[in-house]
Amino acid sequence: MISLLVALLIAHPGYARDIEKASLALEADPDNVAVLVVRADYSRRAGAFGDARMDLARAHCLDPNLPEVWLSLALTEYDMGDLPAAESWATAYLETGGASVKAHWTRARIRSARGDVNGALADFDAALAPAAHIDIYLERAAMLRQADRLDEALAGLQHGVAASGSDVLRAELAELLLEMGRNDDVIGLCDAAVARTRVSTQWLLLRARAHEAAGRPEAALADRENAFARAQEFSKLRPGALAARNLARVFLALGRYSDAKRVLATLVDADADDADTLNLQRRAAAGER
Amino acid sequence: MRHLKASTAWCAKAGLCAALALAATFAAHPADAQLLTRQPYLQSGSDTQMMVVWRTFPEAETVLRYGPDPNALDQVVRVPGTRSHHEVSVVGLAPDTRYYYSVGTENTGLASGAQYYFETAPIPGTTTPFRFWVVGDSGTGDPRQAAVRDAMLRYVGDDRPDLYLHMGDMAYSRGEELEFDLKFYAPYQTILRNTVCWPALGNHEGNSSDSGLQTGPYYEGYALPTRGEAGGVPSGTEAYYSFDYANAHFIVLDSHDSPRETDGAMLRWLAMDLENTDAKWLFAYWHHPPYTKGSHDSDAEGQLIQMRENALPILEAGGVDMVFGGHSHIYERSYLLDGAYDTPTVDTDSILDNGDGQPEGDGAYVKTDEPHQGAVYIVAGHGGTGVVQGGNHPMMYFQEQANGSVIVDVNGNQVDVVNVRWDGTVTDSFTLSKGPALTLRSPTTGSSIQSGSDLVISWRGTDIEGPIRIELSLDGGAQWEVLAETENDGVYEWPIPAITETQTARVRLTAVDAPELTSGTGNFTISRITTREVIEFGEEWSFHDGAGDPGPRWADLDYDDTPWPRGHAQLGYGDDDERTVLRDEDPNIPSVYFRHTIDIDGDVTEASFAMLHDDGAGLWVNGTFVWGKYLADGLGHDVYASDTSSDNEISAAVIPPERDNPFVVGRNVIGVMVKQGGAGSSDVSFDLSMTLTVERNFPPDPVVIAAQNVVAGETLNFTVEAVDPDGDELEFTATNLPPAATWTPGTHQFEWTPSLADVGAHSAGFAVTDGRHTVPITVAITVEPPEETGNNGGPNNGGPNNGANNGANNGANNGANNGVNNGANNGVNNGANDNNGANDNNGANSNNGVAANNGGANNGDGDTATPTDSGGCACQSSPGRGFYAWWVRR
Repeated sequence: MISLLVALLIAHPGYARDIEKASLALEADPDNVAVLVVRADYSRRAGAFGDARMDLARAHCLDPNLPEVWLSLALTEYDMGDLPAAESWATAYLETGGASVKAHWTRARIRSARGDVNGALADFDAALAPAAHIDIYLERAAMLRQADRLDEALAGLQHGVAASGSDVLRAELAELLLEMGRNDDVIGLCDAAVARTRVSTQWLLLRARAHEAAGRPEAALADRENAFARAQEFSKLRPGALAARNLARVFLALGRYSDAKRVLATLVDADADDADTLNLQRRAAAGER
Repeated sequence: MRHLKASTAWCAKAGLCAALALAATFAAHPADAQLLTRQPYLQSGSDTQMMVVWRTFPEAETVLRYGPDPNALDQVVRVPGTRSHHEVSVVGLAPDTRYYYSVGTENTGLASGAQYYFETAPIPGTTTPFRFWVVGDSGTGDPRQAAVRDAMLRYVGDDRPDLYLHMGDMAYSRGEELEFDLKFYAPYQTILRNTVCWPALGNHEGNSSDSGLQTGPYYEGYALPTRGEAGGVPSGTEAYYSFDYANAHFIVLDSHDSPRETDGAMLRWLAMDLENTDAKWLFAYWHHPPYTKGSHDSDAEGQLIQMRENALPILEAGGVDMVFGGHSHIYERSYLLDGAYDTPTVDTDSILDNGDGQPEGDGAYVKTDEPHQGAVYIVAGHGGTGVVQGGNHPMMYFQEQANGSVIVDVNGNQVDVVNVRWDGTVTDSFTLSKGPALTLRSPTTGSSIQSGSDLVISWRGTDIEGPIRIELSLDGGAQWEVLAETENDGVYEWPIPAITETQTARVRLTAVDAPELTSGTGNFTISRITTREVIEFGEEWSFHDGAGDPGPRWADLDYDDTPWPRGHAQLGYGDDDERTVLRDEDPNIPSVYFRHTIDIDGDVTEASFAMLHDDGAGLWVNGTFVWGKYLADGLGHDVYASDTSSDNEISAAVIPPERDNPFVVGRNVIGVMVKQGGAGSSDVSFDLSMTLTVERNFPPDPVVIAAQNVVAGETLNFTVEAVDPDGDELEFTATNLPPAATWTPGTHQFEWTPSLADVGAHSAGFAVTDGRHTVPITVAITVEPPEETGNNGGPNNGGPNNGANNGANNGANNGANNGVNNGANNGVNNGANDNNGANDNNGANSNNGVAANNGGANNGDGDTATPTDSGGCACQSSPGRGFYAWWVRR
């Protein structure tokens, strides 16, 4: 049960100000379990895990049978690294019938962190049952790839692409297919994407890698040169870090490392610290395509 | 909508009253009748497709008819089965085309008519100018929301927005179904049926909708692209998506419910989307703004901080031009910024241009082809809820704690943005430019210009060399007439002829040396009848706020108010919102008076006004009382209002047509009396806007009478004529006549026989009036002496008989005629002077002794009396003159 005040607080989640609002509410009503849970949630997001845990402990003490407290405890313990405790709380929540995407997803992350791939997989699949949640598909696939269970990862991504049409999932799927040596499948995916997107640099480079892996260097070169033309055109149309990184990727793919370094050097400080920029600079320095 | 669930949850939560009201509505209809519970609205439009959505109760068939003509909806789309929530997607449409539609069942139309239409988008990449409307946090369902909507509609006139972007919080407080119906779909239904709404999820909708599951009233009501249907990279979710329109790409993010981490799906999709668009302009928006100090603080709240730190670097790396947000209940607009990601955001080095962004001010914000040229950030959380200003954000150029909305015009290389406050005032504007641009500013599509006045054509030409060609079309753009090629100074005035029939017109401008730069209007009308706002909120009024009674004639037209001070509205005291603060005494002065003068150039056929007043108020026109509120206790100076108003109450009314129209042609005075609610009342407020429909009456148009020439002794007469464009009866008078000239009023005929003494220049003056306008007419008259007869010298030279007698006078008549006819006989008749033998009679003709006149050398030459001014002979217009007749016979 959530009071109107709590509803208002939840309506405006945030950091310092929202913690302050919750604190003010608790001054007026110190035993309000719902507000304690809300403040704990804000504290957890702000990285104040200790404060979060204290609020949840008090909430649990006041109302030991409130599942929302258990779920919040699961999230907090997970963030604090106490994975067994986190899983225990998440399971308690789920076993009371509080089945929810959030709860399954939370436990999937906990189990994945504990190395329980099968358990996590079950939770990921349960979280995905009601709807195609792109982030959950990505996390599921990442876990399975790391566990070298590529076929299962593939099945999940294929399901996700079919269910949602997400190009983020499609790109992830293409990378996995490439990793699995299914080059013609990659080419098929990329053909469709190149046909419908305007700039298409990313898809052309992916397809080039697939052609190369399939022993078709001429086709690979043609795609890379096509990608270069498009990337150049894009960088004239909208010059900036995005275009520069795009062009750098193409130069790396063509083995033109000096050009890649030159382009990356044009990025201003704010963009130079970007993880993607740093990665590309490292690859350029290492002569890595 | 991707996961439709039975929409019954709202019923349980909506409350008993609402449920009872609905039950009553349904009970009033036959069991098999369908009701539209949600009027049709448009979704996911592109250049080739459109989705039409509507709801019925009970479940019904889904039939959509559409076509290019409202009377010929010859295309049909049917979706098998029955349902309450209907979605029909129409594909294969032509770009930039209007289609009319109707929705209903196979046998019943539920919504149809010329007002139901949609227009497909232009082909992506084209430079078709377009307009979009930005609203946030509107979902109150109260008068503030309506005022914001209506202010937009007044501002745009017939040039309605092509897109409607909503920043979220559209249905307070939890975004439930009934709240959506009452606070979003109903208030905007006349907009939503023609204009696609592209929403972003707000935190209040987030109370009842889930982005991960794509469930809840937000997701069930909207049908948003997930697979790139409207352009852009497929996102796979309605929570965030993108679409194209003309030369712009729009990106919508979910700042509330989707993970905001850099490696999360949403921001990975954002990077992909940015890498795959080649649109000229990039606009992005979501609910939680990255910079604000309104009712929220972007330095202290998680979602705002995360979007700034995670999303902005991607967007600015991709060259975003403008970012909109809501959530914070205020209007704020930034400088041109780049790279301001830190918390707190205080780094003014991130401000690339600290000017106002106004071409007439510090100059437009300009973006070149270099990277990181910046973006402007706008918080539009002022669409209908209470507004709050918590502080001043250092990145903001302007902020205003008042309801309103934002209108954006995209035209080629230029984007113009205005904030339109709830009362119609434009309180902020700026321009973002990427190169040469030509923007026509007036007239605007749908405007009504009065014929007989000057059409002011104004424009802004940025970075344009050479002249501007101005063209006018009166046939919808099929043919164009060049009005002028003029220098690029921004204005040209064209005098509109005094036409009485309403005409539809268009104006087009082209840069002569860069013909790809062009700008034009849609249709506007030229009419003798126009409706326009003659007094706007915020104008200047003269006022009397002293203790003394100004007297009973204070509102009369001829009352002398020169001693009164003047000030701009809002006038009053006590609320800290006044532009002009009036005298505040204790006890209160019961009555305050205001006067404002307007000029009217025709007959007023309709008049309406909106008045902001606190407390009682009365309105006079030229001394005639026409409206009042809370004045039941009388109008005396020392009488207080009979009741107190609400704070800054707004009353709107039509001035009832009186037996005697209080408005007059020419100068008019609007008088307002505002009365205090009591001796101790703390405030007074006043402002007024007035709209009049004026039927222009044109002055008579006299027929031009050329300068007249008349020979002394002959009679000149002409008729004074005029045409009245309105068909009014005309009256003619003579105002200045030469001596002995006559004037016949009934036939408006002038007649004059000048004498020799009148030889010289004269003028005759007349006037024609239609009862409203009097036009003077002046005719120049030159009296000439008779034709020269010096050799004969006879008293009759040049006399009346000369012409007629000339022929017959030859020979036989010479003798008898010489005395009278000598003048005319000299030349022409001399040839026939063989007959002059009979001129023995000439003895009496002493004049004949003048050899030159008789058969001598002079005969046959010179004096042939051929009119030297044959074509322009002054006598042509006087057919009665003998000389003319003679000339013709010869």
